[in-house]
Amino acid sequence: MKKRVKIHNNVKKFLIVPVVMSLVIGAAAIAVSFSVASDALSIGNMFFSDNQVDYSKSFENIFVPTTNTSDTIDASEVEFPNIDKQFGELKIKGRDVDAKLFFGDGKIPLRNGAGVYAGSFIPGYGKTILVAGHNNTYFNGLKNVKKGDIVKINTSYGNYEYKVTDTKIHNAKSKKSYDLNANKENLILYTCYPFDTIGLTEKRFFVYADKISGPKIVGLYD
Amino acid sequence: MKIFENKTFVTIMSLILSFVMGFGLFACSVFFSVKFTFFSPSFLTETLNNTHYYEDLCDEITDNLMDIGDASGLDKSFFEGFVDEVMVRKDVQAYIDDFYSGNKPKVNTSDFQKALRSEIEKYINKSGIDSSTLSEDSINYFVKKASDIYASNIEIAYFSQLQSFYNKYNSRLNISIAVTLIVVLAIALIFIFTNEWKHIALRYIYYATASAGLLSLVLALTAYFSGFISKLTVLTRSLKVMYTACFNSALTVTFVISVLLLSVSAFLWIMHNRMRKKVV
Repeated sequence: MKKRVKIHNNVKKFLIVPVVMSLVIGAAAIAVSFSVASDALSIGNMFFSDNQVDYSKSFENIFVPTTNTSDTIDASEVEFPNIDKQFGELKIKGRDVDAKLFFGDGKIPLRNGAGVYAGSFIPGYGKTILVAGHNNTYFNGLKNVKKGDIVKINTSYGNYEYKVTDTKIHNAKSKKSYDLNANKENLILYTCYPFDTIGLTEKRFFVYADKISGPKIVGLYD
Repeated sequence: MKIFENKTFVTIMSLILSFVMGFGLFACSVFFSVKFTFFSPSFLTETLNNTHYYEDLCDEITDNLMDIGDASGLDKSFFEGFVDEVMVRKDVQAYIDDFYSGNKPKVNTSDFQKALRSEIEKYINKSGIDSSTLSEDSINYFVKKASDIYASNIEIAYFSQLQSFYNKYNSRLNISIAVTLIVVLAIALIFIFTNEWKHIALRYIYYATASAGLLSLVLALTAYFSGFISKLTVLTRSLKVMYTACFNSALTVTFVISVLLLSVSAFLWIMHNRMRKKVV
């Protein structure tokens, strides 16, 4: 019995005291280091987030060819693509233009095809669709495009056709080269100009086309 | 002084001193963890060498240059094998040296630009491109953009923000370590020389080392098991590799210090029991 009491006292002294003391030290450390901790926390906020970055070079493809020939499609049936997702394909017959079509015109889209500028619209909304591509890869064939050529865009919710109305060369910073607020569905393809040269250029080659067929997306703005 | 003969007063004073000593030891363990990891130039250099940071970085620079190459009429093959790991290592090291020496970190891209211009010349000759179709301005603009991409990849993200933190606390850290160690040592000596029975002195020193060791251990284990390192969000894979390795090393150093403190506590406990038995 005496031995048990002795052990109990020993545990009390040698375990409980350091545990309690460590708790008090922890609290004191937090209080004392508050000014440093606030600096450290602000730095920590730069490094940590619940949203993880995707470092892969691969991309998601939501494009499934469709034979839908109806004139309209409800917005609820359209899967709106996220940035860097392939949602269609773009072709100009006889002009050697055949590219995967992405939403967004960042690294992944331009490495793998052509990209719709995220500040413009996807086909079907009756607005401007601004598409970029590199001039020595997927959009090299734009140099052969003529008025009257047909640009085809196939998406999972419908197939669209646009007739080329004009081609122009503009300065890269010119705001006259496109109108994102146009009230008719029009397609603008652009790439760097001149073609087949080396180096970064300040000019851009634009192809303008108007919609001739394809389902109109309804139910969103109506 | 009668008050010093009062057993309760002496016990309370001893516990307070023990608490201060424990606090000092814990602060030291944190200071040492930071000093030997994030605030050490050799630590960062070794971390980069021991991870696949440079391989990842060379791949990322190549990919980014290929993107601008695509926009500049160059074949994908142009940049394959172009980024020289030796040059990258040299430029990253110079950037780190600038950071720790208190200078504004910068990247000198003159070697890169020289190599790129020479490669473009070879490419033009090999491809048989008509030089009359080439514009010197376009090539210069391309070289400038490419060297900007190279420089932004060499720069270690967040280092410019971290430098103000480093400059602010580096000298303070050295002083804090020195002062804290002196205080800890002084309290230990007070315990040893003011207690007639040395096992009592060992008991209070034990309280300090054990509490500091426990707290450091809890800190390291909590940080490790909370999975906060997996929430690290930086722009590129190479940076994630680097920062993950740095945070892991800092946790490892904290863990090692806590084990060291707990080992000292165990030794003090054993010594205390032996000396106490002799006295009894």
